[in-house]
Amino acid sequence: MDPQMTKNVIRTVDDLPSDHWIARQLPAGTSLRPYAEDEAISAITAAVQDAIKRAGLSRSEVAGLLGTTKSYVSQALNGSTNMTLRTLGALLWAAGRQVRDLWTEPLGATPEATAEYPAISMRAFQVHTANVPPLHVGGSTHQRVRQTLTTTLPSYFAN
Amino acid sequence: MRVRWMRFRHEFPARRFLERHPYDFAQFLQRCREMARFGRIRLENNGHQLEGEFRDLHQFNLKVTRSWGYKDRNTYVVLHAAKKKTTGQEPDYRTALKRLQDYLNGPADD
Repeated sequence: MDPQMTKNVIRTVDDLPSDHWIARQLPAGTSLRPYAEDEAISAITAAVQDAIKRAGLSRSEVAGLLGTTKSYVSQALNGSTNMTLRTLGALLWAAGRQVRDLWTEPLGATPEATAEYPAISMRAFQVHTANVPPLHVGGSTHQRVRQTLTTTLPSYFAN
Repeated sequence: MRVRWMRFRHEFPARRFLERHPYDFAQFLQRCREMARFGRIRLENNGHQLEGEFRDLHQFNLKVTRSWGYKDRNTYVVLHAAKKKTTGQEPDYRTALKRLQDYLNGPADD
């Protein structure tokens, strides 16, 4: 076999660079199959959700087009069932799209997400070891967490 | 995005728990990556923000476990993880919320 063909095979943690953020979390030899499965389900289902949203269709309308129930469509679109390729094709058809659109458009990268989180990268998992000083401030939990984090972890907010 | 594990009694219980479930841990990492890329878990079934008194918690639904954390912009604090239960998960919500509140009120005495 052409060595180039096997160069980038990644199946277990051992196939990743040792400083990769996933490799730093999982024990050596751990299979990445669940990671890959989850990523595929999430990316493809989100892309179909996005296509239906862009087509301006509700789940009831999609169910009407497919001659099925709204709950079936909801189950397929929220990831609670293992969607078949046939269902995937049907949902894309209902949205007026084709399977190649899954490759030619960003999978589920909505403007809302990119506006709120510009240029996010998964830098590192870090264990929380900071000695957090007592903080007694009023306001909502959200405000207190914000204040705690910005007080104790200012460098994270500088990026 | 940074993911931080909540410390409790000189341990990191959520991390230790997930390490005993490698399949779920790998799923958990994928969910964290999704959160980092999109700011949320895109499929409701995979994870969502809780409601009511637990609205500060983000839940990840994994294969046999669930994890709870708090998200603030680009930091996600993992508070607790436990076996998935069809009913009666509320004590775990309370544990996660208690850890968040303890964190906000300063370091534990132990």
